[in-house]
Amino acid sequence: MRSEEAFLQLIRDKETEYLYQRRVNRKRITAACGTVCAIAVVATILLSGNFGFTPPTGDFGSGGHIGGTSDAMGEGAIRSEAADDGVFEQYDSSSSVNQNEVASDQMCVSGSGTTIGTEAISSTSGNTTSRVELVEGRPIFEQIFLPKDHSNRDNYAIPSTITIYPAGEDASDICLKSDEADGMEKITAFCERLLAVGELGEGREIPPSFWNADLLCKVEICYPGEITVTLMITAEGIALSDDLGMGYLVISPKELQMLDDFIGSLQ
Amino acid sequence: MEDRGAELYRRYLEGEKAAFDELVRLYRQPLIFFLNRYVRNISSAEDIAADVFVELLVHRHRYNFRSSMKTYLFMIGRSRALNFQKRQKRLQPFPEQQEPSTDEELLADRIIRDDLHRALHRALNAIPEDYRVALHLVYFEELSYRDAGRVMKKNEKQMTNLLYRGKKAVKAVLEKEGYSL
Repeated sequence: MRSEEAFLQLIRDKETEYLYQRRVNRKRITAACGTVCAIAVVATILLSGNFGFTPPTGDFGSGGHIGGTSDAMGEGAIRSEAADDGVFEQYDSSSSVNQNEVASDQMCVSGSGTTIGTEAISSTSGNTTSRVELVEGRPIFEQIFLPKDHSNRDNYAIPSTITIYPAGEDASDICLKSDEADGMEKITAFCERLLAVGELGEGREIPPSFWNADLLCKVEICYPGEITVTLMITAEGIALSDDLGMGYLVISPKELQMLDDFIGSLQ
Repeated sequence: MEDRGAELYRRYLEGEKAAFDELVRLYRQPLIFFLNRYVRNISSAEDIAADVFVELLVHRHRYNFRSSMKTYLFMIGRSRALNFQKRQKRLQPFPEQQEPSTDEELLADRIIRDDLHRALHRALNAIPEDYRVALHLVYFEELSYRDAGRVMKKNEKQMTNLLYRGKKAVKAVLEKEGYSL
């Protein structure tokens, strides 16, 4: 039989062992509970078919856009809101495209802004050129309708109609339309005259004086896809606009006089 | 009114560590002696007694101070001893009767002072366990019928019957040894 001290020591040893065992058992129970819970969660997920996230409600490529700050355009935006003909439009920091309808074989390149006209002419990116040129006797606004295949000029968009109005904006005062008998010749001459004025410059703002001056002439150029580019000619210069914005062309008084004379000859 | 054991335990719970050692000193031998009635092995009884005291240490708020500390310890001890018996039965047949070991005799000598009680102690080993334990609690540990019944989980009527039959059985054994009662 143990001595009293040995018996007390036996009690203390048993107490220590008991407390240790209790701690270990609690850890085991906790671990077992954790394992059971994890298995239950995984089983629930597997059985329910919900893997922890909700699929996106929109599908990429049909109206949604990634990046960018606006629905229309924005630097760095990639948009898949294509036109009816399925053009895929891509934006980056140095160039962006028109969000409007464009033909499937065309890509519109402009600056970093939100509209064609303004950005085309007053672009600050400096990597675009806005100009009008004649292709087969028809005016082409390269800034707006830049074909995907630059090597093939046949890919340029051709206007469906060109309408020239005299001073005043009443459509009834049409002075020349491309479908008139002598229309193509005169329009070609008009475009040559227009091109003689010079190129549309970059970074040019329309001055307030433009809007205060009398309108000499208005020209509407309609392209396929319901895009209409309008040129308004006053004694201050030529403003180019489409449905989305405005551009501006400064011309010298001498050039303006030549153009005015030509417009007068059309009437 | 609290008995000495309960008072010591209260002091221990209040932070007086030495009170527990004193509690062990007070009940160690009676508890081992009692447990030996069940397990008939002093080492095992000692081991179970240590477990009983550990119970006091690790489950500090189970004792409600309503019963005496001695009764409480014996209740735990009985439960542990019965569990021990069950385990032993699974391992090997528990011997019905063992020869008293030297330790057991020494322990008996310390607790039992007179010859008649010693003879009674020997006779207890020859009778059924319930009679033995009941007689031990009442005559050696001097517990009341009620407290002894608590330890054995019997009511007073059952205890009365157990003691009556136990005494009858012991009397028969002692008469065989030459004692005239």
